[in-house]
Amino acid sequence: MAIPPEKTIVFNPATPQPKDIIEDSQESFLDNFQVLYDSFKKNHIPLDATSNAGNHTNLQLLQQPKDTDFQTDQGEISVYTKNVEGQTDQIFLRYQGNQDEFQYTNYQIYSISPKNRQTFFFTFLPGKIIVYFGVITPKGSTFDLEIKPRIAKNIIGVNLCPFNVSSNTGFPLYPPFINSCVETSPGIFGIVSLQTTFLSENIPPCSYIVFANV
Amino acid sequence: MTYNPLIPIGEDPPADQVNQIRQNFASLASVFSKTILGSVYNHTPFNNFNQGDHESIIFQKQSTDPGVTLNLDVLYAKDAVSATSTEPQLFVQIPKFVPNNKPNNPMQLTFNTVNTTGPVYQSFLPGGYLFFFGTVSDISLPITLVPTPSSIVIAIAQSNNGFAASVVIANPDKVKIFSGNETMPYTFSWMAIAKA
Repeated sequence: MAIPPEKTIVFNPATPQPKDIIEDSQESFLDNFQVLYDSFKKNHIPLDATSNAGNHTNLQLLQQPKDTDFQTDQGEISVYTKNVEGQTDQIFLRYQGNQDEFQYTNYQIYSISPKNRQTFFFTFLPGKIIVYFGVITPKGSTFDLEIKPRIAKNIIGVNLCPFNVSSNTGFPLYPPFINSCVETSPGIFGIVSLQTTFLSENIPPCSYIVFANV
Repeated sequence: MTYNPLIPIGEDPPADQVNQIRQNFASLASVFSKTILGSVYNHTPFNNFNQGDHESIIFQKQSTDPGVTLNLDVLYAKDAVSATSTEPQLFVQIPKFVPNNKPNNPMQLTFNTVNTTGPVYQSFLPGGYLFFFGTVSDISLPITLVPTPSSIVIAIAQSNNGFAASVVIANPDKVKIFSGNETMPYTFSWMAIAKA
């Protein structure tokens, strides 16, 4: 026996018609109630749940066209997703009264294994800023502090602070100088070149934090 | 009665169907006008200028990550374990990824406490990190970070007098500043980033 094709359910806002008896418009009613139910079940606790109906299970923000300019009235904040060149789909915010939008998320955070006497951590700040941080344990008077992942288009600032070592009972060690920020590929800065100060023979172990635009 | 997508039934007399149909409309209206103590939750009610918008958004805690395969970002709440408690936190997953050989991990966006009064100020950074900062003049004792993190990743201190400062991290929650003379009448700005 042939299997009948699966019926496509379509919401019909023009149902019922004035002269319909319920039997005439039953199918449209069923379709409408089913479409409402199925649509709402996405992202939400279902309409027929015994508790918390209407709360959100998650909030999927579909990618909006790149040039979309969302309108926000007074008292509104808009949250939406757009694809960012060289990145991924990212979340944007726009505040009331059509203020300038800003990018809230910037990149995918993941863990990076320590390498070459350096630990690597990174996070982001709203506004296309990545914060790189970790610890370096140089062995010598110069050190190339690596920026990973290599997506920094502009180094905004670098701060370093030495760890005090147990053999040093009182006076602090000195952080290294920053020689230069090095482009490792066109337009991408991947290394901060460090050099010991005249007061220290070698660069001491340091915490570092780097702020960069992406 | 709750919402029933399987009504009306054609053979039932119209009078029997009215209440069922009304119930479905009422359920929809009720869900779109959830109000507690005068505040509207989730969606703007029907027959309102902003109907269909969101008011606040209540995220029901999820036990798994939803994953993303399409061009979208997804926000959701899931338990995150920290050194002090297990609390639902707001997470985001994004679909595409650079570089491609890395996993598409969910990102924890929030933490459940902040300290805006000091002297040990505390906020949070995406990725499950706590951000501590402040100023201190007495460096004879270590700074104790509250809430207690799992481990301190970095600590940075700087004196206001131009002298160098260095630090010692005593995990999981202490940072000691050194600057040669602990009795100097100088203040030090400091910050620390730790895993929650």
